[in-house]
Amino acid sequence: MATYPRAVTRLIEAFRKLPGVGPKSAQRYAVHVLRASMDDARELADAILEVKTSIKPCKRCGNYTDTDLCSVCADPRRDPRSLCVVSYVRDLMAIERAGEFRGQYHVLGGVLSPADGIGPEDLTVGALIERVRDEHVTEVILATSPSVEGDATALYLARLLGAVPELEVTRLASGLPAGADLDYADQTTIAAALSGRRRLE
Amino acid sequence: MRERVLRTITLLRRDLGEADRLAVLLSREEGKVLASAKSSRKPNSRLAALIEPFVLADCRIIEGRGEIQRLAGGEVVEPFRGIRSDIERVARASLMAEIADQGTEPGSAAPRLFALLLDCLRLLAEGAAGPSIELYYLLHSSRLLGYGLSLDHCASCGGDLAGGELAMVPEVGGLACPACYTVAAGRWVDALSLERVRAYRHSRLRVALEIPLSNGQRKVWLDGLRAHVRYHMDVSLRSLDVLRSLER
Repeated sequence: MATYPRAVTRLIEAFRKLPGVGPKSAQRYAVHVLRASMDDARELADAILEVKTSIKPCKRCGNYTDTDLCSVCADPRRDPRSLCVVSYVRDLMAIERAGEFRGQYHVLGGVLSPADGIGPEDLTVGALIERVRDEHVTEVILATSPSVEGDATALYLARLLGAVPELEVTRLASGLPAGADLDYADQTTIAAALSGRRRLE
Repeated sequence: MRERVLRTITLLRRDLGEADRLAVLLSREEGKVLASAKSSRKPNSRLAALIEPFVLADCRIIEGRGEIQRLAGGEVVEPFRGIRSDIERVARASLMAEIADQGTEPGSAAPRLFALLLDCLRLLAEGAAGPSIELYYLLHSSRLLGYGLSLDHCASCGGDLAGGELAMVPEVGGLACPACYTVAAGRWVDALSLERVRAYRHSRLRVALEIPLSNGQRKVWLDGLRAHVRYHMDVSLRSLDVLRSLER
């Protein structure tokens, strides 16, 4: 039975380690690289090496950066008194895409998840409390996902932050997605939307 | 493809591919069920709420080719939102779900374990005493899963457990009399708390929570039962490590 040469098998195995990539997709990507021009293949290899050698977590917030401070922390127009706490950098990017928030961020590095063995000491909780105290933050927005783990993390942080005087702690609203039909929403989402209802102004 | 509606409790869920999830469900009729929930990580998914951990739901399941079935829809029966209001409750519920997951196989009915887990989750969500609920769950689930703690006879010599400083020894299967094993002060079980935990064994959960146990004795029993469960399941229980760190 014919098999791929060793170098191709190695590339397929490397692609298989990526999240959501199964054996068929890995094979397709490897064949694509084989067919690509030398310039495109080198560009891909260089991009992977560059991201591994130059990117590090921002010293202040944990966002990805190639300098000491990320572009958000280094931006003097951002309000340092308003801090949005997110689980992952991808959540920070999602909020930035919305273009509504002009404060700064703190990346926890995950959510509290006992089922996965993740407790408070595995997240940047201590650094968050230190930041809130040292940088005179006046509002913390807890922007974890509205899941069991996200809610529990938010409530855990809210309790810790409750000890900081003159600090407002808020949570992202949760409920119906924009453009959705009420009729199609599940009862948990409708219950969350009802309990989080607000006065029309 | 066979389709049926099962009443399920979500034990855990894992991300699968770009936007899907794999849910481990416990049902009364079919025991553990593995089901994929397509696009359930997207915000407008109707499946996402059904497979949130600890949710009780009526799930429409379509049989797949292998062990993994497909979640096609359903209704949430009880979301037990009270659990997520406290990280210790989440950790305790996760421990109970993890034990049910590790101790069951797909296709084997588990009506008593299902009923036990449901009772415990309901009371956890209501805010009842977490440590006592955990003690009750560990005591009863270990019996249902085939490695119940011996409360009447010394697990080592078989003699009656009459009293004295009784040691919890997971390696021999439960409590041992002072003649067989001795343990340090603060780690042994006294006759009064043994009587009370025996009553736990024969009581419904709400009644058991009324049985008085001092904090010190509850801790001795919980530590012993956790060690007993961990020893007999022979797996590391990740949620137990987090629960312990939260208790410190």
